[in-house]
Amino acid sequence: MSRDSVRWAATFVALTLAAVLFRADISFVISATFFAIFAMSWSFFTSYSGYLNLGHVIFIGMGGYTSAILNYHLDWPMPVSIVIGSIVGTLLGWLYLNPIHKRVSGLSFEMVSFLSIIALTNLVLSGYARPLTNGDLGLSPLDGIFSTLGFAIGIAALLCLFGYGYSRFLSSNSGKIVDFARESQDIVRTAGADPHRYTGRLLLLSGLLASTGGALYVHYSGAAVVSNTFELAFMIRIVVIAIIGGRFSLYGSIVGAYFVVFAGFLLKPVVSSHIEFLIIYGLGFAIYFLWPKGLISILEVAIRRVVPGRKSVQ
Amino acid sequence: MPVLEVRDVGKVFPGVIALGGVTLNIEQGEVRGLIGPNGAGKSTLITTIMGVHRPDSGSIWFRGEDISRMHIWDRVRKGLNATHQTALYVPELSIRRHIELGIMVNGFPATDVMLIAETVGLEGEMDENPDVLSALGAKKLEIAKALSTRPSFIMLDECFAGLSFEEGMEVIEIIRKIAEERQLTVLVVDHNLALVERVAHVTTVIDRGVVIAEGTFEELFSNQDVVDAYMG
Ligand SMILES: Nc1ncnc2c1ncn2[C@@H]1O[C@H](COP(=O)(O)OP(=O)(O)O)[C@@H](O)[C@H]1O
Ligand SMILES: [Mg+2]
Repeated sequence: MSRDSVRWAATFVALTLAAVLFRADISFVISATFFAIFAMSWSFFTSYSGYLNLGHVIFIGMGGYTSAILNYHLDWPMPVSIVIGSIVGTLLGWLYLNPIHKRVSGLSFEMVSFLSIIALTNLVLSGYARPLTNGDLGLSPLDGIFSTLGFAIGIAALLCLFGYGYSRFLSSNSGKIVDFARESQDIVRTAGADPHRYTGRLLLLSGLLASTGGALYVHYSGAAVVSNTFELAFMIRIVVIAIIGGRFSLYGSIVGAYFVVFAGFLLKPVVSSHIEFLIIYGLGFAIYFLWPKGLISILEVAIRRVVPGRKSVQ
Repeated sequence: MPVLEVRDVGKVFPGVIALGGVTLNIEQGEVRGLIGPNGAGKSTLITTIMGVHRPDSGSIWFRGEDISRMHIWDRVRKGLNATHQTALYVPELSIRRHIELGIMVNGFPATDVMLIAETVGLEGEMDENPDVLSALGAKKLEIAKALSTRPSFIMLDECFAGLSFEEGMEVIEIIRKIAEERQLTVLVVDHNLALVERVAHVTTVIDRGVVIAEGTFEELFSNQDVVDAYMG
């Protein structure tokens, strides 16, 4: 067995244990896993391609809304809606973002992707789209997914399966070419390849997980609304989670998501939600300031103490 | 038929005519020199041949095919490559990985890595990062990177710049070796006339974006235009 498969299997076991341990509050476990899915899929593209993607929620929203529309308007069975939603969401998001990332880089890509989600949020809420999206009421009720231990373990499996796939991609030839493309597109061009072919693959794989997560998430939430799909605040939450956890590590997103969601779990009974976010994001900022590589870098040191000779976690 | 034909190529940058209609024919197996004062347009000519810029006028033909509108990577796949005036590398990635890149991208056998390393003399530093390289080492890495795509024609920009005479001779040895072993056609671009003279069969002189002379060094320096370009 490869090192990657051992690590991701271990991660799956750890997440399953956490789910069993916290089964009385399973909705928090599920919520953390969803955010881990969104953050890991975001950082897979953003950290390894060198493009800061502020339009990642396009995948989530396209996947979510497609599944919701099929289920709500056409009464398609939920599992079918989710599968179609995941695929359609991935393709729509990719067909939109891939050409943009080819044309503009750096700050321009950030601006365009950011403005896109503002535009999409407004489009979804607008009169034109209302027959399809129900505007700010959203599409509700949808066939729901319940907060069960089984579902918690199921999406943990989805997360770890993609984590494993992502790790394999990064250590493949394509991943090695991406390592160069991230730092210098010219070096890849003069080696005989279009760098965007490789960063485009990252984007597609990033979108596939995000869109699948988005389709599942609207059914889990019971509604497709902008606040759990296209909205800027949702995008920011994903970015913050990935950064707190450590965005140059796929595992970092999981650590970040569990940290933020469980900090919220502990604070919720004690303080108002504004104070809660202030504390969590303030803490996140402090962590980022002290350990720019995120919580995962602290965890790594701890792991290395317990398991001597272990190489750094990718 | 020449391997490379540059036909009346013009390239204008804001406020500067970098190339004012350059025509250049290079034959298979030739080691051609290209000299000219600073700002003459040598690097622009190379980058335009590579496809970094589109020519504003004229066309570029490689092995009988008009490549003027091709992407850089397609030109590379056709057998064209060049070294950069300022070495282009990623400081965090090893020298080995830099050489592997072109091999991986093109699906060439992994055995190419060591062959190339030995050809340029980098086999001892493969696991170092490029930052540790001397000026000569950086030139070697540039050549190695270009060789990794198995070119049939290679352009070396400023290939002696920043090197001592002895180091320049070492680069010349590499150029001779690759020209012979790999049947490469080479365009050698530099300021150092003494070194270019030692390696080039024929040399082209450009000044202010136009070719002003072509021939052996003896012919060139009996030409008043060339002398003026270099003295003036
Ligand atoms: N990318 C560029 N943008 C604007 N001007 C440029 C650019 N590259 C080169 N030039 C100008 O074109 C002329 C030729 O430059 P270059 O080809 O670098 O000359 P050489 O390599 O012979 O020293 C110079 O005047 C230079 O300033
Ligand atoms: Mg130059």
